[in-house]
Amino acid sequence: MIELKNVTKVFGNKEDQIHAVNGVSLTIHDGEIFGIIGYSGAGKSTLVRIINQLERQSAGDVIIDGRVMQDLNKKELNSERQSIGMIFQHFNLLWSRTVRGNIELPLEFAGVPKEERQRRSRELIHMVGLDGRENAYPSELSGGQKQRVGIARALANNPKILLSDEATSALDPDTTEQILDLLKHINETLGITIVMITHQMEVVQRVCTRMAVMSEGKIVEEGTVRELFEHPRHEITKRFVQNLEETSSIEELAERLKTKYPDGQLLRVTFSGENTHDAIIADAIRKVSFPVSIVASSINDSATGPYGVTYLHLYRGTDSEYNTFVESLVNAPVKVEVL
Amino acid sequence: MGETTLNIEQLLTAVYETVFMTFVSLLFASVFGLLIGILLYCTQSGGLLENKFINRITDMIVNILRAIPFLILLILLIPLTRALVGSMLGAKAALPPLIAAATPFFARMCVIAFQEVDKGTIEASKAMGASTSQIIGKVLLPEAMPAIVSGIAVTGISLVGYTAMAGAIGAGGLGNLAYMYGFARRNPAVLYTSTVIIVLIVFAIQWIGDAIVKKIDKR
Repeated sequence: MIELKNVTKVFGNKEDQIHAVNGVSLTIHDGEIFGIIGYSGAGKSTLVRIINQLERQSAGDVIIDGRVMQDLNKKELNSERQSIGMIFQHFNLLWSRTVRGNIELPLEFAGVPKEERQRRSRELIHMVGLDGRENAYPSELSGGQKQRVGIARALANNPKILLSDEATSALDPDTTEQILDLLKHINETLGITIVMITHQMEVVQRVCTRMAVMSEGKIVEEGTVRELFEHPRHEITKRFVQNLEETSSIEELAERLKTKYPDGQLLRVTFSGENTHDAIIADAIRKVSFPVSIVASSINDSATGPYGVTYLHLYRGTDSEYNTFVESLVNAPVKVEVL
Repeated sequence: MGETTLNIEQLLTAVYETVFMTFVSLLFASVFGLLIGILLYCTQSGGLLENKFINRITDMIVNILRAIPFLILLILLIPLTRALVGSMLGAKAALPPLIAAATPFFARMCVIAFQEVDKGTIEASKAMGASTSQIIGKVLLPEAMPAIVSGIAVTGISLVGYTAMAGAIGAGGLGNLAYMYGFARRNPAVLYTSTVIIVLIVFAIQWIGDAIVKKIDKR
């Protein structure tokens, strides 16, 4: 059981203080997958680092299975950390070591003898589905494979807790699903408690049993995932739930548009909020002679430029003309999908 | 006009002296520089063994040594050289100033190499329960190794240049040969041959360094 009691973390000097974590109390039970969701800057990464004391809290208690973490000496803390695995957004693998070498690293730290290390790494490589890749270097792996190595490494010393800091944020949606399934599988088969930090609601929805919503260093709402999804009370929670509904409705919308406009070509153009100050669509239209109409759109303003999706219907043109149009958008550059 | 002939025996001795001075001082400078580099990196603020006092002092010594031009360092270190080697002439006598000049240079390159190591891997190692010495030995050094090897090559090349300067004031080697026989006695054959050999030594060091880096860098 992980207990956080009134945990506060203050960064900065006396004049300029930032409360990254502000009086958080939380209990995470054994064997559950607990999600902590929040926008960037909410303090969730700091909070998870306080659990394994990579960050020392300014006030409050962190108690894991009855042991008060901040009172442990260096040696005790290191041995306690060996029973808390951690995975990261950017994987944090050693490029100088192979898959096997990376997985054996925590075992080397723990002083596990060579034969035992080799046996354990073989077991873990199989478990995370990397058979045959044991001698590959991280640079030869895809993002999903790297995270599998990260997970295997985190599990090497048979931890009772796994901390996941945005572990799927750098992965594409399909890979995210696979990694989440793997984490769920690990939780079910090994009974490891997982604490997941994320800003993606679909992550929480897919694997977590209970969750907390964090904003400005505080836990603003906490409960089972189901409760929070069905009856979000806080503004931030509502926004997360709403975003999720929008993502799931995107595919429905695409299907609807496809039946509505069976001729010509249907494009989904995604603006990321970067490099989108230019009149990208207008410029592309000027280069072609066929009509282009906006059939659906959801564009919002952000600090760096507009973001969102626009659906374009191209018709009365030839395939090569359509290609010219798509190319000029791709070169703009914006993300274009032909539906 | 002076002589135009080339004394092969003299040349070979000079090559041996230059190679000896370069590699012996490079060996010592690499060991000392690496240790000082680790000390500087670990004691810096936010480092593994943060210690402002030690960091400032070490940093200052490194900066001072790097600021002194090598020719002046040679002269300043004469008493130390006498005490250590017993003479101030010959290739051996050039070693203390060469090491004193190359060590801080290489230490600085090591710090840069360590700073390029992904902080995430250090954090991950801490999270795995690694001790500071384990982090240095198993994470920091292997991850910084290509940059350290390049640093050794660059330091070696600077040392070839330093040996030539040391040679000019009596340490022997190709620099001495080029200066004493090539320039002072106006023997162009000696001057150009010495120069070509020095260039070849520099190329060889660079080539070996690059080859090792290429082999160990798996990024």
